[in-house]
Amino acid sequence: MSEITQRERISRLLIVEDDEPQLRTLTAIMQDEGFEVIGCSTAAEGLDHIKQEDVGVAIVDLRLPDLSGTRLLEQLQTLNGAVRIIINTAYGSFDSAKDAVNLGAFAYVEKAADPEELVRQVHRAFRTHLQHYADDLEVAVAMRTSELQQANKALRREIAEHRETEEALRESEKSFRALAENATDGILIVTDAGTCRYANKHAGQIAGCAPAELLEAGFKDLSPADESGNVMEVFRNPLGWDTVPVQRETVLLRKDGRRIWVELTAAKTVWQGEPAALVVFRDVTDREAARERSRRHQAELAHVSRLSTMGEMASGIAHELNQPLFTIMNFAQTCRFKIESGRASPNETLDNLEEITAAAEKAGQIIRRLREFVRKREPRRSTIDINKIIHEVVSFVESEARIDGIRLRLVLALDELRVQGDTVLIQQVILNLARNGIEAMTGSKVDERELTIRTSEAGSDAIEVAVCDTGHGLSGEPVDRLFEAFFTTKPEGLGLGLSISRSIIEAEGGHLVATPNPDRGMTFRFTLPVSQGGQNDGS
Amino acid sequence: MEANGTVFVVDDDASVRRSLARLIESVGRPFQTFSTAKEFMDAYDPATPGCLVLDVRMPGISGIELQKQLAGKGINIPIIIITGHGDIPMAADAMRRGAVDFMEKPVSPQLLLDRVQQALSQDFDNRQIKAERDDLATRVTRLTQRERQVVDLAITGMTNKQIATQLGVSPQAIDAHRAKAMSKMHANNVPELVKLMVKTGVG
Repeated sequence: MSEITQRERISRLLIVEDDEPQLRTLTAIMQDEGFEVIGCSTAAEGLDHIKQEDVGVAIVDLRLPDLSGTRLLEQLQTLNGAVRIIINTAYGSFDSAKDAVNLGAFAYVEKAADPEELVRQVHRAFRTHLQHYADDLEVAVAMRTSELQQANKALRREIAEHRETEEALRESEKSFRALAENATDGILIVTDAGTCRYANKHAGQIAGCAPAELLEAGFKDLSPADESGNVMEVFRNPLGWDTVPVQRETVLLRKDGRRIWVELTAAKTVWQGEPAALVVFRDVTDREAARERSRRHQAELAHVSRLSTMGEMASGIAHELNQPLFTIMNFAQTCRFKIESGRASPNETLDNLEEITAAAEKAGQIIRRLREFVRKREPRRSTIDINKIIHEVVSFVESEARIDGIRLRLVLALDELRVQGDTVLIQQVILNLARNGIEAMTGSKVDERELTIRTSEAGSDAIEVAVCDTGHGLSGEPVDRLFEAFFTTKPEGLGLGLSISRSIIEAEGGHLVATPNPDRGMTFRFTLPVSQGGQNDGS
Repeated sequence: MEANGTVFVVDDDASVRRSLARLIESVGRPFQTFSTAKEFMDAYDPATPGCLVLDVRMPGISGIELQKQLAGKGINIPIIIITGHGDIPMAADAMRRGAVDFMEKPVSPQLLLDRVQQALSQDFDNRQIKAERDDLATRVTRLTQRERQVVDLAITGMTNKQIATQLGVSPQAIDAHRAKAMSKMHANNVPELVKLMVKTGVG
């Protein structure tokens, strides 16, 4: 029959009939109907089949030799609640159809009846069996649906939350962007290759163009080479810097061609998954100009102070110049006497002339040195050997010390001590300290007058110069007053020497301090940072 | 009289020292150079005739200080002080202490040599006078007490008679004492004796 469903074919029909011919007949009929039939003749066999196989419908004869019909019904139903049982028995062997149904049977068909009736009942039973499955399925579907609904609800909640988060992020991003956009500093994201990925409004203003132009141009196009020819690495390749964040001042070329000073901080970051540098910078041209002005003022003041120093030293300088002049005159006169008296030998004359030349050169050197020292000039930084500078200063104060009967003692480090600085300014500081020391000793006992200049390394990155006298020291004045402008103990002094010296040393990155010596006199010490890599250029 | 003493030069500047040595040598004078006052003091023998050319300011003992030390030891060597810068009070002080001259560098070499010559003559004279005085002093010590009494009174212009009256002895005895004393003092007559005694500083 075409009505037979997949399920009917799969679920089997169990026939329990102890009468062999009847079992065969029934089996044949039902097989003809297309059912898959399991036939058996005892209750025990029937229960086994129920246990082991998927039995959808069972046709049971209640009169079985091994088990009563009611017991069999009970056990069948216990084993498989879904099985539909059709009772097929001889008339009168079972009290009524009603009883049968009470016992859980699906249908009751008398053996005497038309087999068609039995077949119909089997079909019906299979359908209800199927219905049972369908019911099961519905329950399952309902449960699944409920689960799905739950899941859906959770999902919706999640989506809502997600949306809220997104909203919050958007808000946050918006406020951060607003923050970045409206920051008074220029903010840039620069990639490894030097391409600008983000530029805020102010970055554009500083660079003199629209922020979008910065993105097009690439930040490296705005970074000119500095005076020393080194391209500003931080602009070119901010990630090449090992130490982060990097901070420095540099010159930036604006779009309009104007050069401005910027102070920038660069830190490594990740921008859209790509390594990049976050560069925050500001225009410090005004500050730099002010600093430059103050540098110039300092230079002018230092110049005035040098002139004043030279004025004070005039007699010493005259003495120093007179030495070679006197020498020249003596040798010249010697030559003249010898020639006039006809006793001149060429060798001796040449020798005298050489002496004259040497003395004249010495005089020339003194004048050159003085001129260099008092010349008005722009500060120039270079690598200088501090010991050499001290020798030059000594040549300035030698005669003054000599006049006052002062011994000059140099205790210089054996190695070259290279520092970065301005030769004349550093000279000025040492000269100032040396002269102060000399002047402080005019009242000391002659054999105690000694000025010591000492150089040494101060740690790995600095040098120290100490100028030590045996003079009167401070008469009750606090040490720090020494460095005040216009504080002086000398009647003819300006009172600027030490204050200028301190500002010079501090501008070079060092410190100048004064300490009274334990026995007598004062020691002035200053440090200067060692020139980086300076140890290597000495040949 | 020709003075041929040694020129002692004390200057701490080596080239100045060399130039002075060459200059002094060119006029045929003996010389010695020193770089410090102490070096000079250690080497100097006051018996050597000469003069001193001294740089006034030097580390350690200064020129002025050396001048004082020499004076303190009774050494009377003529000193020419040379200075790098004119210092009037110091110059005055040096001159008061008997310096021959106080000259400012750069000194004209001719002028310096003139002063050196002058100083050497002065030293020569000083030494002559001192020698004479020493000689006279020796002669005076040879006089007996009585002879000395007679001489002291004679040079005041007293006659023999007056001296005899004052000392309570005969004029003949005074005559003998005076003649003996004049002989010891190498004086030919009374005026000569008076001159000699003045030279010894007694008169």
